[in-house]
Amino acid sequence: MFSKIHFLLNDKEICASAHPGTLVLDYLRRILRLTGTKEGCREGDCGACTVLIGEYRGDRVIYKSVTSCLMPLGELHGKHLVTIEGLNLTHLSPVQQAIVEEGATQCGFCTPGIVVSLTDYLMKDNTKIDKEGVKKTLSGHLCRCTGYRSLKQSACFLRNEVKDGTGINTLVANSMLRIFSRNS
Amino acid sequence: MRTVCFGYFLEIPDRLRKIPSPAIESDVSEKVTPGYFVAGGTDIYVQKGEVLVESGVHLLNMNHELKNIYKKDGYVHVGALTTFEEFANHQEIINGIPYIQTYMSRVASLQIRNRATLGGNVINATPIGDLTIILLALDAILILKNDGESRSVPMMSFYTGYKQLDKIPSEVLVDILIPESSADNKINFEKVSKRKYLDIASVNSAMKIRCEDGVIREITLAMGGVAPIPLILKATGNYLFGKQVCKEDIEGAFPIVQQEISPINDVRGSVEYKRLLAKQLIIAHFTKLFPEKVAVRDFYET
Repeated sequence: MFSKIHFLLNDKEICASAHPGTLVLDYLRRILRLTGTKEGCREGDCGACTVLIGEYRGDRVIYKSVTSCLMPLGELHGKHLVTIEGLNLTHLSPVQQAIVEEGATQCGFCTPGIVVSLTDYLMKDNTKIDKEGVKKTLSGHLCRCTGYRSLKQSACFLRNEVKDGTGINTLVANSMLRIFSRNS
Repeated sequence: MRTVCFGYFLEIPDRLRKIPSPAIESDVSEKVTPGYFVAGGTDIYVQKGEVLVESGVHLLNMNHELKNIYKKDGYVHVGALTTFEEFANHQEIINGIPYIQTYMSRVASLQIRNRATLGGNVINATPIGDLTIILLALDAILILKNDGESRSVPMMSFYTGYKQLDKIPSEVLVDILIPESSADNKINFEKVSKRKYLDIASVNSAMKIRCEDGVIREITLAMGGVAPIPLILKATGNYLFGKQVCKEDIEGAFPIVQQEISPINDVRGSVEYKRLLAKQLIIAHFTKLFPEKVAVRDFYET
């Protein structure tokens, strides 16, 4: 048996006993049936399987976007894994709304990964939403039907939505990150 | 029961603290059971994804101490598990390689750069590793650890053949030492690939150079995609040493470059194309670093 892999998945605590070399993508889709994270190329090229990993750097938890198709499950121990399911709100999130406003999705296969990456962009403190930043954020996402112009426009649309600034605390304060109802 | 609402993101830091640390290996090189060493995994999972889930894996990232960048005794120490993004955003690195972020935009994508490690790139030994070529030009030294013993190998003698290393399987690369660059060192990186972004190089090259009164006093030229190994152009460097930065002396290096390289035909280009790129990239290095001395058009006017 393998030692337990203990981590947070969105708002849930997970204690997994799987091979540490299992891909995070396979664990999400095949074991947990969380299929919002899409399986595209399985080679880290297309970005459809993008998730966020939060971990302590010094005294802060820092998030970064990664392709779950190339990440071993064992590395999640002690970390926070955020998938598209963890970013859905009862209403559309500002990122999702912006994509709707600009018609930046057609078949939708690449969209969850893009929502994850753009949300990560807003989760960073004091993001100045600009062309270069958007380009960098979207650089690892391939879209084969809508194209990138409307996506870039939706990122500009976001600029008006986050007038109070960016960062996790600001997003939570403005109901832009998920608020959970929990029984205790 | 009562219902409590909270933004779960705000609770995450406290909840993560409560997760007990796993029983990690205190020394990565002490592991004796068989299996693959995995750093960022961005290449090994593409090459051996099916095999990895069935065999043992040693997840090097569980060892947190190999991620630091710091200056000591004339070297910038870069932990082997430093990711490409961490490397490009670190002030010590930006001081030494002012345009590192521009170069990095040509390497993979943000998600991959968030995972891919410098150590992984070096050990993977692909002849066209972008970071490998940059580190080679910087005269990096590798620190390998095995069973508590460590030894150092200059990167330029580390590669012995296609994907062959001066390293035994149980040795683990722990540290990469970059000699501190003096203020008058100049560094440039060039890459040509079929797509501008998100692609593997056809040919890439990095050059470190120091001039005094217009004379080349120090030069290291590295080139990828032109040999079975990430190549140091030794003879070309020797020729250019002591020369002026001028059209004639640079052109004098072209035949030497062609003798030193041995590209093959593959999906990334023909032999002729790669030989042409080798020349073009040398021109690009000098015209970008010394625009006051040589211009691109100097080399193409007949």
